[in-house]
Amino acid sequence: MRHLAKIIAMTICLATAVALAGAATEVDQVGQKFSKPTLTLQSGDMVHFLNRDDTTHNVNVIDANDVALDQGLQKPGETINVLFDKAGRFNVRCAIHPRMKMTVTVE
Amino acid sequence: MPRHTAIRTTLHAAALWAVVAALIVLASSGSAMALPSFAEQTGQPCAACHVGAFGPQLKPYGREFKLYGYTATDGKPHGLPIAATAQASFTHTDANQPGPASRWFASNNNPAFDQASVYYAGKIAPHTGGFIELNYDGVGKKLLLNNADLRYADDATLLDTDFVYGFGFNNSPSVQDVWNSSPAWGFPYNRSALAPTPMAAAQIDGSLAQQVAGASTYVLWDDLIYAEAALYQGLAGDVRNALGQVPVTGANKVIGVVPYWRLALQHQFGNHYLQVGLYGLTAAIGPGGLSPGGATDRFADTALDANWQWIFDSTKVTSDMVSAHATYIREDATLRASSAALAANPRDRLDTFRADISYSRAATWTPSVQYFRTAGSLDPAYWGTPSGRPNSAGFVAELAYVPFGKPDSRFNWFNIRLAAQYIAYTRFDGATTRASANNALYLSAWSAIHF
Repeated sequence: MRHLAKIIAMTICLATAVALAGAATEVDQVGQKFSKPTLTLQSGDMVHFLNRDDTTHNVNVIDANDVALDQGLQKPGETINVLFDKAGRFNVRCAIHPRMKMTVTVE
Repeated sequence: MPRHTAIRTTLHAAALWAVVAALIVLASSGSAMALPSFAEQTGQPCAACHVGAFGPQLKPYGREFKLYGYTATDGKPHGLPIAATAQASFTHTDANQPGPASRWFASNNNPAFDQASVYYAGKIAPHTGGFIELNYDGVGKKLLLNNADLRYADDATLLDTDFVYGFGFNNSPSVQDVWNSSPAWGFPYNRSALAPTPMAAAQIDGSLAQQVAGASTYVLWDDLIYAEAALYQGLAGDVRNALGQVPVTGANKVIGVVPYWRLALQHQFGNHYLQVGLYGLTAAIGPGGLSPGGATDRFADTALDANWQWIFDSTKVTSDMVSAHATYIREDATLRASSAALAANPRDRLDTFRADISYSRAATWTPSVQYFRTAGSLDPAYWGTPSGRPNSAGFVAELAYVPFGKPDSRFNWFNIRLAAQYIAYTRFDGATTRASANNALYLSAWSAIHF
């Protein structure tokens, strides 16, 4: 009985933590394109950028004031996680591949 | 040459080379920590930009890199973007040529150090980049300024549509083009300077290369429609002489402004890329450098072109791929000067068609074939051929091998392209008999080093 109570309590804690942490979205970089050209998120949501190409990419998040947050280089197979914790519209670009871009709207 | 003219020419040469050197120094003073050559600058292997892991045939990323002004970067600090290439070869023609294939060479079976080039090639400043090629011609044994393409480029959004725009300077109409169907970067990408070549070529088909300099502006709208306009000015004889275009005495002279234009439609259909386009120019030429009574020969060139690329796996830069290009150039000539001087026809026409296809295997082995055909009006006085026509036709077959330039290559600072090429003529300068005497086998080694 004590075990069951522990399990229920842990489940409730985990569910609460997940709800507070925000959602996560996967975006692939494949064929020198982002798999999602546009994305709408809630503040606090996370995006996992996964490089599925066999060349290096870069994730550069640019806000409406042209302030860039460069996430650095990303080797093949690597994931870069970006937390979008402010509302606004962001352009996400790869500095190596200029035509590779997507737009993220955070509500 | 009178002494004062020689001194003036020498001074002009010194001044022009000083300008070239200043451009290079100026370019390198912008942000010296971030000026690598193209591959080092982007951190990408040769195969990311080039079919067969060696230039100049471009893949989608190569076109993108050029459209954006050669400025894409991995953000790391690099050295000066200096690169060098060198070519050596052996040429055999089916029959010995009537005299030496060129000064310092035999009439057949010639080994040669074809050329060596040093490039400043890369980003100069934010949104600004380009390349300048200084070339040593090992056959003509001369130093010259070869291709140069400097540009500013950026992108923007208008009416919810992305577009790329740019402004540039270059010295050869179509050298700024991103498609390998247009003349400056078309197949074959190297060829023997010691084998006979057909004498007739349209002005846009390389005849104006390094004879002019000009400015262009372009836009790529929604990754779909490309439009460009450029204006060129013919370079004066002493300027060309100073830049290594020797001898210029007796050479054609460009008179006035040369407008150039380009339109294209492109689209990516899954793994297939398609492009269709138009390009052209008009030019007034003083044949042999002369314009008797102010008369010139005027040329109006209009061309169609198309490209198809099929990349089997777009996630791999070494993916097998098929690449095909075609162009048709129509040249209408109004020959006032040649008509007066040579009794040539008042009007002539020249049609040029080329189409090639290649299959690149693992960006290492690339066999290619091309059909080419040039046909023109009957005008014995103008063309100077026994038949009175300039017609030539034939095939090119080539096998290229590139061991490096891939993501897992041992060297990222060195690459080499070994190729065997055979050109077979079915018609040469208007004649079908003995056209095959001009057939040529060309074995070449073309290396590239980044410093």
